[in-house]
Amino acid sequence: MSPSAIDPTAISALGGLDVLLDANNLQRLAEGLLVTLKVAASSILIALALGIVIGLIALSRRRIVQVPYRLFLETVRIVPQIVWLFIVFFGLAKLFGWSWSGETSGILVFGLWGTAEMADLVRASVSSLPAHQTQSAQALGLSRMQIYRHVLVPQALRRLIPASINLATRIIKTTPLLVLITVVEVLKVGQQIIETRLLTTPAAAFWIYGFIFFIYFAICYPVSLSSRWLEERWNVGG
Amino acid sequence: MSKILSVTGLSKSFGEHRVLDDISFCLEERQVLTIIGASGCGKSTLLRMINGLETIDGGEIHFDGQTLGAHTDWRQVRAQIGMVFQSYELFNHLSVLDNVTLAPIRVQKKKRREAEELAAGLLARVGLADKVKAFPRQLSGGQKQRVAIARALAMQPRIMLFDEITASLDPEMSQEVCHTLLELAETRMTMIVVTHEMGFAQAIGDELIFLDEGRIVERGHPDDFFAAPQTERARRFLKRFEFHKGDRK
Repeated sequence: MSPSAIDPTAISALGGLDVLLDANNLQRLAEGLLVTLKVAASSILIALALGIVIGLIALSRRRIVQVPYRLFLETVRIVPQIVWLFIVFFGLAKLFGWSWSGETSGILVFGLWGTAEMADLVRASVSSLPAHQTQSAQALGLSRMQIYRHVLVPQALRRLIPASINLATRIIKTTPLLVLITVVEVLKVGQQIIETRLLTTPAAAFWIYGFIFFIYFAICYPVSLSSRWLEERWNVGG
Repeated sequence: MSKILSVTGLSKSFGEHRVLDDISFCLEERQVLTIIGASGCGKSTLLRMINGLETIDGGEIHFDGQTLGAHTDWRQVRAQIGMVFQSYELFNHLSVLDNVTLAPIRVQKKKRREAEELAAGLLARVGLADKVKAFPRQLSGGQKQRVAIARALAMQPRIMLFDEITASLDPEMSQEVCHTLLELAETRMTMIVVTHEMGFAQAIGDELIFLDEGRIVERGHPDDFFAAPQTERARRFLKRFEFHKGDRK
């Protein structure tokens, strides 16, 4: 194709592509992506581990369990994530002098948010199992702990796969909020690159944001696929 | 024969409603006791009390020399009293074999291999040797109920309690489960069978109790009971299972 055949808008769009393909820029985007992945993965791990434990504890009907549990759940849910990020990052530093990095604050906020959501999923899933499951196990002489461990929890977790994977992708997609507490994650890196070239190559925005769109897709889609795969694999037994 | 279970003056209320009133009976080893009565007469509650799934309000239950109550180590008692329920609740995440071996391995601490051999034998006995690796959702209602029987038998209980185990099965499956129970009775297993299938009640029982509104109204050998019920209430109850051409108006 001779250069004269390319129409002028295409030239400017392709002109943005070299900004993306610039080795230096790609490296910066990769570094930003690592920050995103680090925060998301840590938060998801915290949410899964703590969420399952707290969800199981929350099955107890005692007030001493239910009151703090409800309080935790509602405060985490009612307040928007961005407000929690500000409270933890700026508020706690002001009040107590705890100055955590933006990343740590992010992991804390997203981790606790995920924990609350996961805990309620686990609690609801276990308590929705038929009472006869417990009674059949009781009648066989299993202890309360054994009933949870071998009968209720495995069945509840299997039912939970779609909902918890959905929660994981929600956490991943919420990480760009970190920009607002000074964390330079993948989206922020993209903005910075675009800004440096704003006057010379305005079309860079298309390529950079397009690339970031692709990155999010490339992370979230396999996660969603794994949900389907796990469900099918456990279908016979679930 | 020796007494393994004796119930004296047992009563139970749910709120104002008295479900069981002054129930007394004995069960001897190798004996099959059938309990019949209209739905809501307290049959299921009675079985559940023997297994500690309901608390005892009044009276006493003695099992194998110990008095059952609030201080009973129910886990140890339940390991010796098998129970099968109307709703065949298998553990859906486990294969048929794992359903049967779970309690022997976890409660009796049997070795997996030993438990699996025992389970395979029991599953063959209930006619499910080819379903060992299947999962519950691949089974019919009758097959699930037979797995539930094998699962309870795997604990090698002293007594088996059957709580209307054919009530939610269609006639054909109900029949195959009844046959499994009749075979079990042949092996001289001690059991209490609560049922609403009159022919089966007569065929399987050594003794029969007729419950009405929480009281024992009649007891005796099933053949005598069905041939000549002594009380008006029993006659009225049995009448319900008879149908005549003239009933169609």
